[in-house]
Amino acid sequence: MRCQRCEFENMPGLDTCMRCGSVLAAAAEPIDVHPPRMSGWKKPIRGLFRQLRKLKPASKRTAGNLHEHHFPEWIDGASRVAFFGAFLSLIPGLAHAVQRRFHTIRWWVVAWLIMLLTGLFLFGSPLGLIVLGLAIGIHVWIAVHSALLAEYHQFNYRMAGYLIILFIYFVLYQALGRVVFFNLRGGYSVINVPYAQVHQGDFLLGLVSRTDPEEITRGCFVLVRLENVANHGLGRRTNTAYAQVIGLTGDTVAIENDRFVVNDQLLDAEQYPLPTWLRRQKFSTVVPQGSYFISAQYRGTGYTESQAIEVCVVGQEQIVAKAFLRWMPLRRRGFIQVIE
Amino acid sequence: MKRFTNLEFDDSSGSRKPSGNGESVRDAVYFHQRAVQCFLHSDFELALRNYSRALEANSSFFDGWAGQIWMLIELGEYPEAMVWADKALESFPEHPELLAAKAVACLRDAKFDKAKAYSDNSISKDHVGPRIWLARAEVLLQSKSRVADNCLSKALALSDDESDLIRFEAGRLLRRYGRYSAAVEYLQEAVRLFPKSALAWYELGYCQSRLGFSQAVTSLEQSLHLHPHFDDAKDALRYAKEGFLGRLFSRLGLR
Repeated sequence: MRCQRCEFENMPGLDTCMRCGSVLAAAAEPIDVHPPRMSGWKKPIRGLFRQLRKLKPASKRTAGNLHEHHFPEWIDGASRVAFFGAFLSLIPGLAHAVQRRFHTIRWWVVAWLIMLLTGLFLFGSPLGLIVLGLAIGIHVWIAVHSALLAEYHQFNYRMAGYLIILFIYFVLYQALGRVVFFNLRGGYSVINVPYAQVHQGDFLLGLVSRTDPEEITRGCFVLVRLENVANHGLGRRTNTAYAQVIGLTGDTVAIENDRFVVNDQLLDAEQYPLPTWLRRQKFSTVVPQGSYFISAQYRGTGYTESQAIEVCVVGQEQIVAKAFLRWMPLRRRGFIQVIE
Repeated sequence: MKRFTNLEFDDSSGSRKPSGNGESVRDAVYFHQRAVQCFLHSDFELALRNYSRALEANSSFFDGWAGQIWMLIELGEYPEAMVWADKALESFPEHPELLAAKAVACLRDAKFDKAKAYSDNSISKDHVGPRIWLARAEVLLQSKSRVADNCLSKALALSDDESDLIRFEAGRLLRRYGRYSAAVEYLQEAVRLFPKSALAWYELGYCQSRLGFSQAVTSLEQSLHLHPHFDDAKDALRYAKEGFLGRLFSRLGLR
């Protein structure tokens, strides 16, 4: 009996071919020749699972191939170190270029640029932070998938790798932000001045270079380190925030009828609104040399005159930047009107 | 018997022996030919049915089993293709082409480790044919290995009796993994060999449109002329007609 597959002439009566093991035609029982089919509704579900599987970190197999065939000799040794993944992911697309996966570079670069630019555009808002987080996530993803952390197969190792690189990039982004935008400082406003369209919680941008005494004028908004606020327990904001300058060095600042009086001149309540916590207060003080009297909204009421003065009077060294731009919310983005 | 010695790609050139009453003998080979024609016509469902009929005629006809598995893969039914490959392996134990088909099914189902394992297994067997090397090339293309080109060359070198189809498959493979300029070379040859194949014209048109060639419209229109209900060709033609900006966005990866 001749085998259909290998054409070997077998002895009669055999079920399978002596040479290749195929089932011989005469011995074959009637078998179902109609394959099973996939139901229509299963296709999208299976497609989804397939996409999820594709998201799985590259396996050692892939990593092995990449190391074996693509990594230059000098990189191969260094790539054993997990942190080298983070280095390659510094510039999205670099890892792919090294691995000669050129046609995937554009996806990563475009995605990263979109995330970064959108994040910067919306910086200061929760959405902006999320998008910037996603930009960081792209770095982390590349770091993990650039065949370097693929050496670690256990979930806890991989998770630790993700977290370490995430932390590195978080610190790096903060540091790079400081370096690139060295003259810019952002912060939230803690004063409500409708005249200048600045409301409490707005995110303002200021210039560090414009904090000289001659640049600071009455009515401008300055980013201040609110050290005294924390000392007196008046607010949660112990960091920096934008407040309005009311009195300059040597000015006499007083509060009368819920309005500021500077050098015996009553200030416009629209331009220089009195914060709620200073209402019903009556005091007068002379701003010391190298200091400013600032107005900011804090929580609570009922503190002494000396406490109020100590909170409101800040030194030149506490001024970080002078605001020039309302960055957030988006609908009110624009330059801050100078109050004369 | 060589696998494709009796294939007819042109309806007019019948070489099958007629039966006593003048009709072609409807045996396994006949249905196999019909299946290949359906495949070239991009009708994978009908091709699958013809492979089944070929097996009804002769259940030990290997090309019928292999063809069913490849068609299931073309239809995106990868788990079913795996099941059917296992069933075929009962009749043809350790057959390298069945293992290669399993490798491709796993690969397209995003089970990369299994795909590599099956491909390794298939290639370690004796009598490794061109489709095994094609499957190997696909596994390597997925992992961005440059060795894939060598596998394609090997597949073409081994494909003496089915070199036309293998060249076409090589073109499709390269197209699938975005290597359009390399794919065009194979596919131009394919449309010359199979001028009535809607699938070949579609594959060529697709590559041309991705490369920004104006001939893409002609190729895709030819494909639709041959198979008016070919949805993929319709989509590709719509894309090809989008003009410069559409192509530019595509090149930038924004589409």
